[in-house]
Amino acid sequence: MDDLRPTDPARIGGHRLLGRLGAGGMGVVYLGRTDAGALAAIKVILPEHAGDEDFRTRFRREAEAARRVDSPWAVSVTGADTEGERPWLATEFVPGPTLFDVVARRGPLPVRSVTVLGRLLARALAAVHAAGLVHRDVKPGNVLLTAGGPRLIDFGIARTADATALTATGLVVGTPGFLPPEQASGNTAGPAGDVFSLGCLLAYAATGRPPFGGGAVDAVLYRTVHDAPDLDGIDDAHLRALLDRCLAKDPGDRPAAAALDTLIAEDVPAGATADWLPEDVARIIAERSAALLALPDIDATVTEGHGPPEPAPGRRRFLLFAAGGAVALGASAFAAVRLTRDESDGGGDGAPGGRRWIIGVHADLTGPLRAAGRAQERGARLAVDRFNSLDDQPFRLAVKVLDDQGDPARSARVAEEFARDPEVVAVIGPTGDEAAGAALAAYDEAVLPVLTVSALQIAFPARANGSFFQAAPSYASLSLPIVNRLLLRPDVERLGILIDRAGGQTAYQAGYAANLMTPQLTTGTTHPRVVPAGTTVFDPVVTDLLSHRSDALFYAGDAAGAARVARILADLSFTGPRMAQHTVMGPEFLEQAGAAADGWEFVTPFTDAGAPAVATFAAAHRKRFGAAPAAWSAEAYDVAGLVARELAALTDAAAKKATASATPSGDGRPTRSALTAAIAAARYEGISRTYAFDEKRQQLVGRDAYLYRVEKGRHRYLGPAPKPKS
Amino acid sequence: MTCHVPLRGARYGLPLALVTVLLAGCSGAADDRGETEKRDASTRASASPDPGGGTGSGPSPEQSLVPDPARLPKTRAEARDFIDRVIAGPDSFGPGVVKRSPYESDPATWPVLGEDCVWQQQKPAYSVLATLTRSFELPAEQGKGPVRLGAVVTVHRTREDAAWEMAESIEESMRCPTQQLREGELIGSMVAAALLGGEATQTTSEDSLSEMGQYQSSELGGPHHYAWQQAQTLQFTVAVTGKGAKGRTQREIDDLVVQAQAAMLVRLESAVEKQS
Repeated sequence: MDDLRPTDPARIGGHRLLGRLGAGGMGVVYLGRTDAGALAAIKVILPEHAGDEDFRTRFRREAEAARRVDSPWAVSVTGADTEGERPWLATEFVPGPTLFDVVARRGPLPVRSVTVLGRLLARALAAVHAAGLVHRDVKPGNVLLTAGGPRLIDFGIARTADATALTATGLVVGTPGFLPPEQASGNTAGPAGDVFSLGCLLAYAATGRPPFGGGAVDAVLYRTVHDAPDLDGIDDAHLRALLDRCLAKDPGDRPAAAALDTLIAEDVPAGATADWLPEDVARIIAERSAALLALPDIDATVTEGHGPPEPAPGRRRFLLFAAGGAVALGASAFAAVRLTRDESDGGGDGAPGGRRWIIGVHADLTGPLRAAGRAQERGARLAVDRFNSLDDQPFRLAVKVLDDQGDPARSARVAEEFARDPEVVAVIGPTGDEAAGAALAAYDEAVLPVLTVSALQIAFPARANGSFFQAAPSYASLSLPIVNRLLLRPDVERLGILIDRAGGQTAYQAGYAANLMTPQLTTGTTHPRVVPAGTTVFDPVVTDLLSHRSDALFYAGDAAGAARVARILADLSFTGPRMAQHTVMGPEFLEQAGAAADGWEFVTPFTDAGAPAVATFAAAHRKRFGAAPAAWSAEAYDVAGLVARELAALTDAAAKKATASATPSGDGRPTRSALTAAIAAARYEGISRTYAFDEKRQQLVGRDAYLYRVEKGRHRYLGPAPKPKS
Repeated sequence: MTCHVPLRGARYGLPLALVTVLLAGCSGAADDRGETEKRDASTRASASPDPGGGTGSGPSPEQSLVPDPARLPKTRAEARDFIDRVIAGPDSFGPGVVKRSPYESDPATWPVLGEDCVWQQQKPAYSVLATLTRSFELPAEQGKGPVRLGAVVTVHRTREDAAWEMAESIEESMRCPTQQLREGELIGSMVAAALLGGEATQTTSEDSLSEMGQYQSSELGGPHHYAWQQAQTLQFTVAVTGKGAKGRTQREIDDLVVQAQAAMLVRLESAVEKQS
């Protein structure tokens, strides 16, 4: 991506512009962000074209048509202004490499991948054609790949001056090598031209070569018109027959896009599943998506050390450009990243498989808790994959992810956006406490069920509609296993508790509850101390704790304070049990405490990739994302699974009722309040814990937690934390 | 800053349930808090709380308070003068509240909670420039006992000293869930919630504690509701206590405490903020 130029506007139509994705004869494509935080690709038409009334009429008609393109396999238009001085059109921004890029990097794709690609892109084209548009530039560079399936971008808007090739006889619209013969001859192609181009694209995916070769433009165009396609290496008879039909020279001999869908083998699943691509391609996609999801960093000034590896700037620019597409109506990162969407819903074909609802993931993907947020996104995606992979589901699920950056104001807007989207049935998140507090009002007003696994304060406002569920033990609840771990041993009589106000509510609630619970759970006593936020000299307070015969120590504060306390305790040769909260775990504590970190223990609400109950999930995670699940992934997987199960049960019940009374029931989607009630009453056996909610505050019942200890500078998983009595 | 919590119902439950309810109730009463803030904002100019008024929402004190260094007390005399301008009077609580005798504490002492959890009067620490406690009462009436109220303002030498006083207040409720105020007066089941400025919807001070418990008195019986609010801004702390009595609801006590605390915070701001 290139920087904005001094002459570029700062904002367009409610988007703050972040950079240039590309430029062409018709105008400039910018990367922008809406006030709600969604990224978008915005194509702004040059003034010279905007002044042309014919052009404006066509642009108006095409933009209107593009808004009607309704397919999960085509990027959606998110806004347009066809009447202003500088007309523009915005689409969602999809974080994924182009098909061109992937084939160039790893070579041809297997037959199965090509077949799935063909089927889904045929659906995208059918939607484009149904809207009255002709794409006219179907090519590998205009298809973005995501783990959930391909996305067709740039469908036919303001094409003319952008995608042209200069030939001996003049200009051709489109990209040589993927053009239909009628277009190569200088005529205008209709919908059948797009089908021909799709055939070229699929042949390219299957062989790694364009079927009419490369080289001089005129030679390529000549071969397109006169020669048979080069399909050498495609041994699958079915695929070969299909390509032959698509690549028929006579437009009338080609199948329509809608018919192609049914011509493709029956055994291809209706929607893409996670394994539609070979594992290495899935990994390329995951890497690139991760790089692109880091996009909102564009306007940050600092990048942190312990995030995911940052791609080199040149690489990122390339990826951005690739994702944006050369002519680019591409795009989305932060915004709707749709996975595993099936054909458009609305019950067109009436088949149950046609229904698709969305589980939102409201996460901190780029802020301080991004590691947790990303892990939760992955967990939710795997749960949805698993649900969709089972036969006979009454509907399919998709995931939509929005990033709050850990910022309360953004979080409120993210909640509003989810609340407004009628397809969103429930939301997993938010990641952080403050973000959760800021989001509650919007979710509650919409009675949209929202389940957080990592916002663990006990001080969230009670809301009228009770749609907020805390699906993990609160900081205060976690103090029970902490007290048990520290005091239920023969050598500990007194627990020293140090609340450092720098740890905010998280620390206060845990430290205060640990102090209250010690006499309840054990025969031990406490010596409590509190220090103000900003304290850097801990020697006096630590000395006081030890001089009051504290045999064990619980520090409730932040990572920096924990490291200071750890060093002082090490200097004093204190070897008793010592713990801090899970929020302290991480590189900051380990690095600042150094060798003094060894022996510190943590009770966590998240399970570990090495826990036996998590093994199957961890394997699926490795397969899909090429890495073991990080902390919080299993918990998000659990709650997404809970939501899916309750949705399915409600849908089944509604279907039975509708059958019994023989009345039509719309799309059969349960209302948000029905789902809220079902979740409130649910009991769900997850891989991390059993989920059931307290009636009054809808907090998790039960305090299952896990134990870690620092050994040789690393966090080592020890197993389930000791269970509290009662 | 109110904590309308069904404490009585939770009284015999697990302490964890209690702390959950208290913390949730205090910082979660967003609507109540909003009202209080509006009152604060609307009364900033008049420096006197007006329970009925206030629909305007001014800037929160935290964002708007820019102290004038010249107005911050540096000597004991300046600190005593400052306290006189800030500390609550009977009107600060609302109608009907009167002075109790003795009205003002001996300025040479302040209360300290001993190791034995009994409050004693001691010489203030070096960090205290001046401190004053006043006693009030909402007199008994038909079927209702007297509500005993107190207000404390302390001026420390530095903001850090004031922050340490807040830390010690939390420690006190942690190490002494039952405290003897004086002969024949006990408070028990104490739980304190603490919110720094900016946490939840706390915007009236840099740090705010809300403590509640059960008040038992040889004179007034009990258990009755006990409420205590303490806030710290700059080098100052202000606090209000309220002790329930027969026929008085928890809400009544909380309202009295919140009114006086809000009044003192408003006065404190106008006493130190930069005058344009």
